[in-house]
Amino acid sequence: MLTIDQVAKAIQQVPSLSAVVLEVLASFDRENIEIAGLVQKLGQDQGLTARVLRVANSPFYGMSSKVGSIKEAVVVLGFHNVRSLVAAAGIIGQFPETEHPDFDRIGFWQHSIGTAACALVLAKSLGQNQALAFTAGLLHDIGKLALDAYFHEDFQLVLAHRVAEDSTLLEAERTVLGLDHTLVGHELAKRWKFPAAIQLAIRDHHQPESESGPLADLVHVANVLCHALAIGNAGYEMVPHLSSSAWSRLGLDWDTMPALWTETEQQYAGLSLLISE
Amino acid sequence: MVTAKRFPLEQLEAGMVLARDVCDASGGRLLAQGAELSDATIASLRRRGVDYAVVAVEEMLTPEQRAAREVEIRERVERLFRKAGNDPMLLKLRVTLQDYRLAGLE
Repeated sequence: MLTIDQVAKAIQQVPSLSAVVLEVLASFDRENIEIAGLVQKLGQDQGLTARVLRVANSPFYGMSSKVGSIKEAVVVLGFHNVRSLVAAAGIIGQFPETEHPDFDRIGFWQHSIGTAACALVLAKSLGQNQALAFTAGLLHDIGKLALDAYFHEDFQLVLAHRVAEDSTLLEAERTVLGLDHTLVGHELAKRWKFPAAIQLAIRDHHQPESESGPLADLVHVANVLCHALAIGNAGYEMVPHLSSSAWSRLGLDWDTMPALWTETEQQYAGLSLLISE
Repeated sequence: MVTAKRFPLEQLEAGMVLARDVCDASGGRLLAQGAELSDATIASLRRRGVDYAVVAVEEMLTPEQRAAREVEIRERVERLFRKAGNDPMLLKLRVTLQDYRLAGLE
C-alpha cells in the first residue's frame, strides 16, 4: 500500500522538465506566442530536434525533400503541429530506459501516442483545441511511468497481480497500492505545471465527470478507443470501461467512428517514429 | 483488401490511386489522397522533384485466406472484450469495431 503523502514526496524529487519544454507546454493555453524566439530555443536542443525531424520526415507527411531544421519543420507542418511534437519528444526523453525491462516502455509510449493521435482526430472533428488534445492524450498515463520509475518494487507487485487476476492495470493498482496511476499522474502534472485542463484530464481520464471538462471526456474516449484499436501495448489486451455520459457530453456519433478510426491509424503510423531509434 | 504501399517514382503507373497526399518540398499539396495518377501527373511529379508516392494496392485474398482472416478478427475482438459483460456502451463499441475490422477485408 502507498499513501498519497509518499507519492507527493517522491514526485517532489522528480527532475524538472527542461526550460524550453516547460515553455512550450505553457504556451498551449496562451493566445500570443513569440514563435520565432521559441523556434530558435528549440533548435538548440539537439535531442529534441532529432526526434521532431524524424517524424516530420516520415512518409505520413508526404514531404518529398528532407526537413532539416525546426524552422523548416514549422514552415511545412505548421507551428501547432511542431509544438505538439516538441512537447511529446521532451517528455518522452525525460524518462530514460530503466534496467528493469518488466514494464514495456516502448509499448507504453505506443499506447500513449495512439491515444494522442485519437484525441487529436476526435478534437478536430468536434472543433476542439487539437494541440491540447494531442498532448493530454500523450500524457494521460504518465502516472504509470512514475510508478515504475519511483515505486518500482510496488509496481512489480501490481503487474504480477494484474496477470494473476486478468484485470485492468487500474484495478490491480487500486487493490495492491490503494491508489492508482491517475492520482500519481496528477501529482506529476502539478509538479510540472501542465496546463490546468491537462491536469484534470490526467486525473479524471478513467471516470470523467461534467466538472472534469471536455478535455477529460475526450481523453477518456480516446484511451478506450485506442485499447479497442489495439494500438501499442498497454500491458494487456482489454477494453476498459467507456462512460456513456462522457460520450454524450462530447456529442459523439457511432456512425462517424470508422472514418475517425482510419484517420487515427494513419496519424499513428507517422507519429510512432517519435520513439523509434 | 486495400493496403497503402510506397512506390518510387519510376514504378508509378497511370491508373494508380494515391493513398496519401503528395506534397512538394515546401509542403504545398501537389496531388490529393484519392487522386488517380495519369502519365501527365506522373511527369509533373518528376518535374517537381518528387521521388515517391504512397498508392492504394488491392491485395487479393483467396476464399481460404479471407475466412482465416475473419476468424482472426473475431477472436481478437472476443479477447479484447472478454470482461465487458453486458455493458451497453462496450457492446456498441464491440459491434462497431468488429464491422470496421471486417470491412477492412473488403
